[in-house]
Amino acid sequence: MEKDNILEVKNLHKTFVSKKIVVKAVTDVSFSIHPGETIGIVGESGCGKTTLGRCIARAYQATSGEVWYRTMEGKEVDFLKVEKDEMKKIRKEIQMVFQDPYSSLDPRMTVLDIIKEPLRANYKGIMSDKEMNAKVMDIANKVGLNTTYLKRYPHAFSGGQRQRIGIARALVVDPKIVICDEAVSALDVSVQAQVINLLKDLQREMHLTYIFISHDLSVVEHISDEVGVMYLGRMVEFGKTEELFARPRHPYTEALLSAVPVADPKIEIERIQLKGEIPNPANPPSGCYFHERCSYCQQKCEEQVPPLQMIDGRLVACHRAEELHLRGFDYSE
Amino acid sequence: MDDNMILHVKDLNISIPLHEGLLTPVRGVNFDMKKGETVGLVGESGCGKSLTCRAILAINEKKCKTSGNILYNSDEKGEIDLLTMDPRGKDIRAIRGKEISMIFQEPMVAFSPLYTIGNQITEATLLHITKDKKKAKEISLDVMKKVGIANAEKRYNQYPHEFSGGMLQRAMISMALVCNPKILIADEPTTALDVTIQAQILELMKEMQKDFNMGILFITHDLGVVAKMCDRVNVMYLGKIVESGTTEKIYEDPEHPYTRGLMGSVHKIGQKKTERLFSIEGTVPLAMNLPRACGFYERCDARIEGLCDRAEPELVEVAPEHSVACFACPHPACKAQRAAAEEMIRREDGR
Repeated sequence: MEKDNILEVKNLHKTFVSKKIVVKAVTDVSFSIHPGETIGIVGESGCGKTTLGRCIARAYQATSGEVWYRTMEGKEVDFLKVEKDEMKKIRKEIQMVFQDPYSSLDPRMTVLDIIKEPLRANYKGIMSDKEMNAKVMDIANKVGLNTTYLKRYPHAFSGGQRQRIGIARALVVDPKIVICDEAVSALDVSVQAQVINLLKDLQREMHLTYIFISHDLSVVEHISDEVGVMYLGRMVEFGKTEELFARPRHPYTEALLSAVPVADPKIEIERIQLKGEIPNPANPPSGCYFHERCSYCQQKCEEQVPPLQMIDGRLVACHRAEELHLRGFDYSE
Repeated sequence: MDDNMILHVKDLNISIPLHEGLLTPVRGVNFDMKKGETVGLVGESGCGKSLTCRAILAINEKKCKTSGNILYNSDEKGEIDLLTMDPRGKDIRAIRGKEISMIFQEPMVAFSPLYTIGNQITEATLLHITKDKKKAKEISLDVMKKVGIANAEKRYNQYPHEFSGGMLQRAMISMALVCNPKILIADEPTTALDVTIQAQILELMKEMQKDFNMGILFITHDLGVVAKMCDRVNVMYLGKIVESGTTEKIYEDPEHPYTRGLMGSVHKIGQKKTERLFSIEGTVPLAMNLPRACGFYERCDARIEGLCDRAEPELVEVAPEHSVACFACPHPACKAQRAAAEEMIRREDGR
């Protein structure tokens, strides 16, 4: 593990098998994160971004690969292979915030209990009930929940408030890494802005590292330091946000960026038409997974899978990454 | 109504009596639509935008009490008020789906899983155009091809679960367009779709609009989509239109604090990063037992105490094709409204 990384994902694979169908949901994904940074993972539905997040949190057991993680004590561990006893200690350091604030909270638990549950699971016998309650109050204040309402049930809260409850639940055990899986996608724009600002404030205050999974490129561009673009289970590009948005190096990134509706009627972007639809992940095409829809495709692309390689400080999986000049957003204004 | 107008919604009110009290989700909405233009209705969830567009087709639930006028300029019958029609009567059913049709937010939910796509598209054709089944099928296949469904003959006999989300939305659009409607109501048609698919569908809608010369009423909360699609925009908050104008005007120079807040809370991709997004504090209040006050008062950063919480501003024109409902707006027309409201409050206090 490199010294200034908190997490290194190496050659992560996840395959789902049902009956005779084998679906490669995540194929050979590698990247690394510095502490205190935000990594955005973008891609269309079905590209494996959620599966990737869950594999890192070990909510799914990855098929193969490594997730090296530097624990709070400074030890380097492969998070995927940690034994049960030790897992108990460090699992709380990687937490998740989920998409749907309506279905991710148990309707039969009070908000206090919901936020307290991770403490009960991790500090039973170590922390008294009083201490736990104090901790819940503290975190509820931090995320902007009115503490007088903690005895209520989730249905009494609005969507934005519920998402704050979900965030409080993730943060109450002082994690180091928080995986936000479409954490703001279900919210209205004005509330979305509130929650994004909150996440940024909390990051600074608690020195958190975020893995921010979203299909909304505007939000990802705003919040992330680095962005990974996924297509059909593979990471096709990974690099610094502004550089990647200004000059994509993978044709899929270029097409994705050109499809984003910009909230300014004066900006008119010519959309790059992709041929066909996303292929079935149970039966991916040969060579580069994107070659059937790519307008820069050559024979090589049909035959060989392009490796994820470093080009000018950017990880790209494209045979022609060096020669192509792709169009991104103009930041000059 | 002007000849080039197609729709004019006048003082539309919708209320729903509940156990807890009277819910008033739509409170005096006015807007109009010219032939062949795209009008946006923008606002957050709960602002009444969906109820408004459903009222046009009279497909709101029975418990919704609706008042006002919805004037529609029909080619055959001239100007008619859709609200006076019996929601289950013959007259509205001749318009619904034929002259005014609608596409819905979630294509997965809007189709019946029990019938083939072709069957569901042809239903409209059989109802409105021809009784001949063979001909109806031909017409349906034509439209399916037009909206870019490849292999239409095969797709015709497939069920909704065999379609992807984007393809289903195309199928729904073909269902809406099969009778050549004059107005298409699109209620968040792309919210459930991926960006690349969304871009395809939006382009398709624009193309179809040109081909059929229809007006589109576009309901959405996505300001990026509005910028791309709409000629004019109406911003709704708590059942009222608070600002209305051409898209350029609204984006360049928003006057209402709510519009400004909405614009600020969206990160514009491809621009220099701002540290924080502007956020409107608080949440939309419940539209029940509303006091006589500006609906946005609690969350507004430009509110005038003693005025905005005692009187409600109306939509006034501040420039051609640009109206705002706000006392704090510096425009003369708004100032006049403000003076009148202050005068009224003074008189009330004096009494």
